[in-house]
Amino acid sequence: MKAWILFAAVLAVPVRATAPSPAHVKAQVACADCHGQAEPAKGAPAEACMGCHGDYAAMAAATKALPVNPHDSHLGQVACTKCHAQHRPGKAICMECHEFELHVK
Amino acid sequence: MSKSRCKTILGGLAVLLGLQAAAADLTLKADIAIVGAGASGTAAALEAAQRGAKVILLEKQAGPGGTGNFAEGLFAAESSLQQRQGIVVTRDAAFRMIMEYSHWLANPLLVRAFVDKSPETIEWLKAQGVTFEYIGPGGPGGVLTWHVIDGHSRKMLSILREKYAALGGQLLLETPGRELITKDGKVVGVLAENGKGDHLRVEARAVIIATGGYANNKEMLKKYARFPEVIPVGNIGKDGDGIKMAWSAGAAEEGMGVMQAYRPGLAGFAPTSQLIAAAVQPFLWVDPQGRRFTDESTVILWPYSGNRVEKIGGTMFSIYDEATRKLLAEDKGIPVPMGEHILANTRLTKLDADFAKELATGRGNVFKADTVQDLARQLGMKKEVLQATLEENNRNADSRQDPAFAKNPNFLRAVRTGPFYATRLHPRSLGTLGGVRIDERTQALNGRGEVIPGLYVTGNDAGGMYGDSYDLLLGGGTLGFAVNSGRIAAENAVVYAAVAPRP
Repeated sequence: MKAWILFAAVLAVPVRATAPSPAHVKAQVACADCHGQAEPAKGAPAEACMGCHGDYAAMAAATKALPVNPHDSHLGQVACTKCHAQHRPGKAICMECHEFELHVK
Repeated sequence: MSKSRCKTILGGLAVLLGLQAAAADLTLKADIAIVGAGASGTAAALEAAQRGAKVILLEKQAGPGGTGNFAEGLFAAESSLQQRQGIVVTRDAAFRMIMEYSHWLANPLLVRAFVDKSPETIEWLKAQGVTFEYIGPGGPGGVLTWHVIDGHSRKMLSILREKYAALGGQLLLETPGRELITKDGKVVGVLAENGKGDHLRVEARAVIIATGGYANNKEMLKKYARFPEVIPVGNIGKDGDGIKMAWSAGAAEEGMGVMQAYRPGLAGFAPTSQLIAAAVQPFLWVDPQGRRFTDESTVILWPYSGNRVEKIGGTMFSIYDEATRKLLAEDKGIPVPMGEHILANTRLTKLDADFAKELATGRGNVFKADTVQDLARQLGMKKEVLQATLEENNRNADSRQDPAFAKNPNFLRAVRTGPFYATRLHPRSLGTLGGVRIDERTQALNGRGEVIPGLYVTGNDAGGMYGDSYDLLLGGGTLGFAVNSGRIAAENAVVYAAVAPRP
């Protein structure tokens, strides 16, 4: 039985909850707040991010002073998690083609 | 073990076993489903809708247009605009040029269908409200076939999308097509998944594939490209989705490995980069040993320079001196334009700042040295080799002759006055240009050359327009083929689907 549990634990690694970003920890954001379930089975939808951070228009306004505005780009209203991540480092998808000085929060 | 941890494990197992809460399953019905809303898919969508079809257009990205957002103009021969300006490029001449450039490896019936359709497509675009700025060549001095659009292709696509929406056409963003639905050997729809995780089943009488190639699929590049590390420009999420779907449905391969080779450059530098614009001027280019390897003015028809850089292993250095820096940044500007991105004779006013910034990173993309000896050291070249190359180049510049590569003497420039500048460059591509074997109606063919009923493949997912290299002799070929093949696909698909015409 114990071996079976260990085997299951190994299998479960890909979906094991890891801590979100320090900002989300500090704000006491729970798994369910973003994923809609306490034991997340899939990524968070954009609506979850926008609930606190505002919609694309609000984000575009917030970042308009940057050298380029990542929230008002020719790529359209990309899903937030394409650039911003909680359980791994984020990376702006702009960088696939461009070299911008952007720090993904 | 905590209860929560235990639940996590069980949750993980459930996911692994596919037992997670099912996302919504939606079934949609259309006459024609189109996968990819770039230049090809958008043209196909509007053409089909205008012919009375109920169309569902799927797009993987959050915004439509794909790489079709970045072209400037499209090919046509015998267009009304050319005729008005007295430009004579006959359809026969264009057909022969394309076939000869490809060594007749291209599919002549497909090439003919594309060329013959091209003048009527200009009229169609005009009728939608698209206007044109001028007609230019693929490279300076070339044949005038490049119909440059007012506002470029981004504007053209937004006009076509408005017309499509006005006809009730549906565009689903962040909804990549995943797999074709087949029944009795016919393609009858496509499965897709949207950003919310809903599974879509789009049942259609015909499917048009227009996903724009595989420029971002490293595995496919490794398997098919002559130079797998080629740097994609203006492509995102091009994972070969449509090509793989068509192959899975039995379609044959055609023209894999042909890249739309672009001017050499560096990853992360857009076509507007002045650092690259200076480096790709056709002055003095050397291989990693410090020897010239090409007529540098092959950059005017850049697939040629792309091929040459591939052949020397994918790394070259462009070297210029202080006098040339001054010429480009402060005096006459660049002799060779970067398409419509940086026009000829533009002074590169940002060059110095861009170069200094890149130099400060110390990552070996750019180099600056006061002496040839130091430059050779920094570039890892033998001083004698680089010195000899520079001396020969300077003799050529003085005598206005290039005995080795017969370069146009206008582009012979001495490298004599320090400081000396060098920029590392690699092959880049604007996309991939092959994938699925199609006929002149853009119908997908299997390995025996038989039509796969209900499946049409267009634009950069289709093979048959090229031999081994991208053809820039006739400017606007890629966007032109995208729009024309999209329209050809739509016309044939509505007939196949027996769509009743609009009243």
